[in-house]
Amino acid sequence: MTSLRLFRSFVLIVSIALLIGTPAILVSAAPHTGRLQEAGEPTPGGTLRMAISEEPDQLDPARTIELLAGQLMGNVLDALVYIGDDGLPHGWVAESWQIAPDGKVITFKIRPGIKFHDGTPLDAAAVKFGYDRILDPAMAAPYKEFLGTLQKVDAPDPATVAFTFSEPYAAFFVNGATIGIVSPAGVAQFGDDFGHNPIGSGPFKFREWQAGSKIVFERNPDYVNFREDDTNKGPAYVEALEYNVIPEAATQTAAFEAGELDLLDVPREDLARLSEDPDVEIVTLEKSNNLNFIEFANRPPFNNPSFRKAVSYSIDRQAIIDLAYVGNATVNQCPVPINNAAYDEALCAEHGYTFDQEKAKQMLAEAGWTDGDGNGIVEMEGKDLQVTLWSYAPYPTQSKTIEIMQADLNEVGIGTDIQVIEFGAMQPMLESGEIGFDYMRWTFSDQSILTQLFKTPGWTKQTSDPALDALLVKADTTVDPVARLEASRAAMVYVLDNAMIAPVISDWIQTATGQQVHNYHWDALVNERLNDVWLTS
Amino acid sequence: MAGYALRRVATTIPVLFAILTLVFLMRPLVPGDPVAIMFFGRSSSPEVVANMRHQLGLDDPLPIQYVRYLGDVLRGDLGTSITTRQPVVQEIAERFPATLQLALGSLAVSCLVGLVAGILAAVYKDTAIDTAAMVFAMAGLSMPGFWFGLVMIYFFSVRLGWFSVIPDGSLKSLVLPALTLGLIASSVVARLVRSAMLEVLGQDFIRTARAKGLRERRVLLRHALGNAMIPVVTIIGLQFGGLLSGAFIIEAVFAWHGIGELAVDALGKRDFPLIQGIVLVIATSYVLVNLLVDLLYAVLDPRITYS
Repeated sequence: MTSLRLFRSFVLIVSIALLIGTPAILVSAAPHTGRLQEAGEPTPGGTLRMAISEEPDQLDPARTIELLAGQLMGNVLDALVYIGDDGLPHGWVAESWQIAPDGKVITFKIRPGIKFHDGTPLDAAAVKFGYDRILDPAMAAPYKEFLGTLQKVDAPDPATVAFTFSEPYAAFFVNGATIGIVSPAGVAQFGDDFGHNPIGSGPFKFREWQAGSKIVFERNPDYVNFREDDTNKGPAYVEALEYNVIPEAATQTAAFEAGELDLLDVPREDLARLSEDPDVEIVTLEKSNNLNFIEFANRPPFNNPSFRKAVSYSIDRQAIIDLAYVGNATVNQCPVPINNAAYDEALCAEHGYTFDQEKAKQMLAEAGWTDGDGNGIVEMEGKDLQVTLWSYAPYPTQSKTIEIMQADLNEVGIGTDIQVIEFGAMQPMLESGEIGFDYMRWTFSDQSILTQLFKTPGWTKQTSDPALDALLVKADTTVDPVARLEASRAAMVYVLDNAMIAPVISDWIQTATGQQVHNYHWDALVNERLNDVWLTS
Repeated sequence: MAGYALRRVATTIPVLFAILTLVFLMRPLVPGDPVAIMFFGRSSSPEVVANMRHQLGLDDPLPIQYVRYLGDVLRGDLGTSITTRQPVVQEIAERFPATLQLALGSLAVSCLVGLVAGILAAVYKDTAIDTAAMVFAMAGLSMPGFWFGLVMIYFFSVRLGWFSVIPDGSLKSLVLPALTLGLIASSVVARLVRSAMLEVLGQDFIRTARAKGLRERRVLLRHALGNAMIPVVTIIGLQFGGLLSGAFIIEAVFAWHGIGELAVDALGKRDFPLIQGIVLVIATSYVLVNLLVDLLYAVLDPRITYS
């Protein structure tokens, strides 16, 4: 279930919407609080009715990068591996793999006998076909950069597929090997229209797409589930999945309350009311892959580490959670989301910045800002420190948050105005450094979020730090999971010590389910596992 | 009449041309590179951006793009949506019937309620009926559409369960959105009908008609209303043009999958060929509806002749 007006996909994203549920990544431990082990015998049948805020662009991994498209494709397409609750890859379509000693070749063994919905075999050639499409420059696949240093894919025999990299690419398992595998015959049949007629080997088959209105999938009766993190190893229980396009969040809630939807991405303002409804259960994922943070431009005073530390010290994160997020978020001092493998509460507490107004003032004083004229605003060489904090519309929670931050910053003597603009309009302003600092939100699962954010020139083209780049390259090219984690944490510590961003909170992912819905849960990458869901009347 | 019609049609051509030019200029005039903005926060690979720019023909000089754009539009090609990679014409064509249906439904409500309320208010001027009708009209004018729509959903769908929240394509699911839009629009019509009727009712020929012993109903509906209709038709025409362009907010509230919802979606995704296509279609249909209304005057009012 996902919502809101902008985009979504498996992986990376600036998640513009505030109520999300989705994408990919490395999780440290059992993340979900869904009704996993539930009493009662699963009963087959019924249609699971859900709402989406907009249509996905295309259900084709070579054509989309939306979180929403990734979520819907997950019903139809299976992948080589899935990421388990231990944060490690586990076999799915692939039954095993080997990594060459130099880390530059990963060879997967494909399980025999898997068939696509159109009856054609899912073999090594089909796997190669899918990755070649994304690599093909003519496709201009937006997802291509997440294949990293992948050079070529070979299928020497029907059960073997080998991925060759120019440099070892540690994020491949999370970012690359979880991409859905499409039917080559289906692509040949539908051509450019494949994204509206996806064919894979997953638990649900695509049935129909009514333009602008709804997308329907039906149960794949022949499905065999090789995933160990799902309880249901056979075909899905529900007969069909129905995604209704309902742009307005309040209308989604109304449809849920009128019994026309089984699941609902709960708007924050409806959360309190719905949690009191005995017929509704709110399933919450607190260890989310969301990260809300303040980022800075590479110009004075924002490029001064003391200024950034002062900002980080001055923010009352708990007040933001209580007032803007109505309690539905967790304080996060790490520059990665809470479900990220690299997340380490103790380490980040040691290197991070908790709410401490005295320390904030001290940081400002050390850098030469003091309030000499007693107007409450610190100054340097007679000039008041006056800055503007930005965020983007139209998200009331974001707006409330920067209002609280404004008060916090003024409190320690940083004269702050706030400004909210449209997201698209931010792009040139962020990249030119016109926006000095802003409150941003990313949804991303892999440790490589650090690379996405900070590797020169940085996602806003405001970062250039060779020392950090070296740490990030080490993390990105270390294929061994444990060594990689250490390397990522080293980079994380560097980011914190230099206060390159001010991490603020990770907001939770919350779905309301009707009493008829059982066993709704997410996997470690925050993908919904709908073949486990069953309905009672 | 034919000469007038021809001249009137001819004057729309420069207007349409101006619309085309403005719509084309929308993209270069918006700050930033549209493809970079579109991929901002999703994928920053310069290779993908460059490829997309090339596919969209954005690496050509502006005048060449302009000429190509004019040629494409004249051939009925509005480009391809960046996000869905479907032809823009097809995207719009899929949504237009829903908008047309809602526009006609709302127009029916607006005319019916507006005319009845306006006539009653005029006939019973300065009575409780007049006050009630005008308070109703004022309320309709002042009420935010999305709020009214949500109240309708809450009351009729969630509380009473008379209508489903999710439209199922039946005529029944047209009722709530058409009522919402139509009632709001009817307030303008009601006020206009009232003042136009009052003006006409004070005229000599009405007294003459009554003196001839015509029944009051005939006096009102034929003599008075017939003459009061000219300004009303203008407003209704404008309303219809507005309704055809898709009620952005109301469509989103009722999950009505028309042009308005498509536009909101396209704006959110910064899909500029689709946005340009929608603006072009909306502006053009507005111009055409206005043209139609102008030509209708002559039909409606025998006193108006064009030579």
